[in-house]
Amino acid sequence: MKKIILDVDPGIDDSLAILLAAKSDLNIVGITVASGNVEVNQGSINAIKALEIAGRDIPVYKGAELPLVRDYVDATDTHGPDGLSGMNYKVKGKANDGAIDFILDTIKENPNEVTICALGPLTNLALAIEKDIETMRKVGRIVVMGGAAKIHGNCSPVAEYNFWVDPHAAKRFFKANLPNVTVAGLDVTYDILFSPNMREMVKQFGGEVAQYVYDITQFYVDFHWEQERTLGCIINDPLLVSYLIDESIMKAYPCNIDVETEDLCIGESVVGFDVPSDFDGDYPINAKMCMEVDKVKFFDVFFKTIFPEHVADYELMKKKGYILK
Amino acid sequence: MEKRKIIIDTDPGIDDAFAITAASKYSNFEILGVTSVAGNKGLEVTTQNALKLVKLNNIDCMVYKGASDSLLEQELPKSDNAGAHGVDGLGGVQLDYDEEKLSNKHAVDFILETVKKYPNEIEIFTLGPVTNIALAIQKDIETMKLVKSIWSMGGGVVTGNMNPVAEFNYWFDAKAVEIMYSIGEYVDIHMIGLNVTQPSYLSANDILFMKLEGGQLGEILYNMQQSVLPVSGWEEERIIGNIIHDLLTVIYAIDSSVCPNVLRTNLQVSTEDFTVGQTVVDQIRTRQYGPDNAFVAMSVDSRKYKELFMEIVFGKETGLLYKNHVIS
Amino acid sequence: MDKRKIIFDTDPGIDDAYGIIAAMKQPDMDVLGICTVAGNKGIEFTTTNALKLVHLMDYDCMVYKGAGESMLKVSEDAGATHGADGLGGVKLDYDESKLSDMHAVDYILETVKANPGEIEIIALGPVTNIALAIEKDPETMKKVKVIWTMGGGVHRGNITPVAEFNYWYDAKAVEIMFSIGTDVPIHMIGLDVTHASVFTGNDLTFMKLEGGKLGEILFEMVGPYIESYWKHSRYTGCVIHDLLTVIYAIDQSVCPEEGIYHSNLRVSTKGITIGQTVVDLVNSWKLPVNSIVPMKVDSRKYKEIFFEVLFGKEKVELYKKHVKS
Repeated sequence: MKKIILDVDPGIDDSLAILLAAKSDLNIVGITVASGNVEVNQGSINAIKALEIAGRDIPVYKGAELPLVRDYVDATDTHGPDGLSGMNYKVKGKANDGAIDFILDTIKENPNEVTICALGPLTNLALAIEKDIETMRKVGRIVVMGGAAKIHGNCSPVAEYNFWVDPHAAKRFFKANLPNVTVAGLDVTYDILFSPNMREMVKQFGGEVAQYVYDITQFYVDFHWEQERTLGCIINDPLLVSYLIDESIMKAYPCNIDVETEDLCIGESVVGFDVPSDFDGDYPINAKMCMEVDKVKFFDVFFKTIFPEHVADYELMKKKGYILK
Repeated sequence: MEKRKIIIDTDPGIDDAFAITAASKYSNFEILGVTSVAGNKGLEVTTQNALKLVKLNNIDCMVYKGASDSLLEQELPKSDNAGAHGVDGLGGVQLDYDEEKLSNKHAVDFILETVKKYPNEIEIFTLGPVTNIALAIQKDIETMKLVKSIWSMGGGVVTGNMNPVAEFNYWFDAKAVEIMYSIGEYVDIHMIGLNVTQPSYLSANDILFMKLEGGQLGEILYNMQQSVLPVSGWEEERIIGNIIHDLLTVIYAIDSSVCPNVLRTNLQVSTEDFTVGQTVVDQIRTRQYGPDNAFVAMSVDSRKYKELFMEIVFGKETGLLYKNHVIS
Repeated sequence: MDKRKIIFDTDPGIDDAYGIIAAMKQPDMDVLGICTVAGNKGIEFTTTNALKLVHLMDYDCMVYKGAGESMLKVSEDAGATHGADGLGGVKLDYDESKLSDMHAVDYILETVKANPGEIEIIALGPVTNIALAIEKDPETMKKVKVIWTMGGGVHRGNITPVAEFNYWYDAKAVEIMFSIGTDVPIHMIGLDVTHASVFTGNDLTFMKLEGGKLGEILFEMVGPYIESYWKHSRYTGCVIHDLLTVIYAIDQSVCPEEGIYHSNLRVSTKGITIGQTVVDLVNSWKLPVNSIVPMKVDSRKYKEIFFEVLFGKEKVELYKKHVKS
């Protein structure tokens, strides 16, 4: 079975993504962390916590502490001071150093067989490309959460956080033109609203996993209300994991992606879709961008994988119209 | 697999041109011959146009000249259909033809000989008045009962275009229609009438698409349509486009799912007076007029029909472009 | 009743021609003058084309030649889209005596001074002339009543994935124009709405059938446009950007109120996003409103108004009754 590396910056939605991946049949061989939503040490603790909740022993590797060029701006305003709504979890496990080498070594040992699921800033991947692009070309597949093609950004009218926080890494990543890259940005994740009813349903499920999901999303819910008067919270990252479980959840279109690194539009993903195109200059296809999502399918995968013992309750809540109405 | 053996009986005509083109591009048809008849234009013009279409589409068969007159005794008001087909019957589009593709044999004899040679295998498309079919039946009804099926453009269910209740082909030779349906118990006769051809017209958008993506053939078909759209489409029908009656007949013969609702029933035709040419379709199945002798298309899936046409004539890729990007 | 006093600033262009003709046909609009600018074609071409339109419509106004190049010194034109001569190859006469000696910038300033608070500028090309007028005399330009400008786009571009041609051609001028947006209402008709209002083959064929001589000329004009839009955007028809701008100026209800955003707008003047309009639709920047940006259009109503203005009530009734786009 394909070996998968999760590259993350947990983060509330990253933690849910790790939990989903760890509870699924996906073959997760390691988790690499970079500074993003929170700095890399806190992020590593959060990653280990998600694995412990899932009851899995998967190695965690620390990577980049800072963006390549820009000053670092975390997202603790969105995720809480510790990245997990201020729960300040203690963990038993310990993270290793050497995320970049872990990525490169894994690919070397399994050429064309490794999938990287990149859910944070692309700093680790940019560093791996810089260190050994030939090895990186032998990656089997990369799915990325980031950017926004035809929709308002979340850090500026045009920029999404993962690309915005380290635009130079994102630019280098796309310029490297690696094989088989699929990107899902705000165009599709805005649809993935973890609603108050879903959250209450999870609480009623009871148990350690449910309590964890309930607790870590609190700050996110408050933030969404404060910021945009949304009830509930948008959970971007698990969508990418679900896509690895069931590819029919999203529809992706060939495109060229470049990233603005300066000035007003810094961090913007400039997405030019495949022919027909009247754009001047050179726009080689270097990725696919997800533009359509089946959110019911996503939540089916999400809840049934994380709470396999509550499938019947979940279906009943759906049927009664409490969720996904 | 063996191909379906086709004879096209026709009076081209722009819509005949579309239909013959589609039939020639469909890989599962073997066109054995094209027989001409007077209708949209006089016999000399329709025969010449048939020759032009055989050359345009590179069809490996001969053209057989048929009947020049209707069997009707009643004198019909003259119509040369110039509005619908242009003075030359093909919208003024210049096309070459080879005189040697014209056989000496009469259309009626060709039909009878071919049916004898391939009993229960021949399918006839009638895109004009059905005079040739009627003459063949009169000459040798037993042979004509061995036709596999007839796909006939004409008539209509409660609609008309020559008078309030009659369609041109069937109006032009209603007597022949009566004779044709007399063998409808033995031969499957499918009527594609105005009730299904009118709603499935090609819009200006569809026509424009043929020009944009259809290469040289597309341009020829586009020009034919452009020349007649102002009168026969816009002035007469108040549609931005044109009704391509005969084309639906061929596409339906290729894939009958484009007409999802087909009625097996009795059909009679009026042969005199002011209702001449009217088809009386027993929709309520009273059975008091006679046995079931027709399959009557009652509804049409326009979108599917057009998608199929674009795919067959211009290829899979172009068909997909049409499907994904063109709204009629 | 006093007529509305209109100055066109334009680079005709097929869609400019439609827009200008519509305004000339609109009874309550008085087109005082037509200023030309380089854009779709070089300044000599666009000036000659403006003269041709004045002659075609036998309209009583002068043409004023303006800026021959972008403030950013862009040299490219819109090429094949508008045909070699900029008007789709349609042969039209013109009268040289309708060309004024006065420069467009001076004409704009003098006219505004003479009619403070009364002049409406409809800008259909790059806005170089307007920017030069603002640089020369900002106080006078603040007395413009309103600017209707075709350009930009919030979620799409056409010359690059994120930039529209007019604004890309002279992004610096756009920046200068919106600097007076706090004093002068500036309505931006961008690609979001123009692309939502395609004139189809059915619409255009109707115009040819029922529009008399003018309808035939306009039909012939869009020939190259249709080819280009099929190739690039897969439309069976074409987008007539500038026309929507004029119809919107005639009747703002073609863009439903709930889809109109009063926002802060900034434009990218460098990098790969040059020419992109960044519109803060959700007011996250808390900056002053300097733009009015419609994001929705009632495309049917738009076409009906066009047919009524150009060809009269009777024709539009035919259109309403028998033509579906």
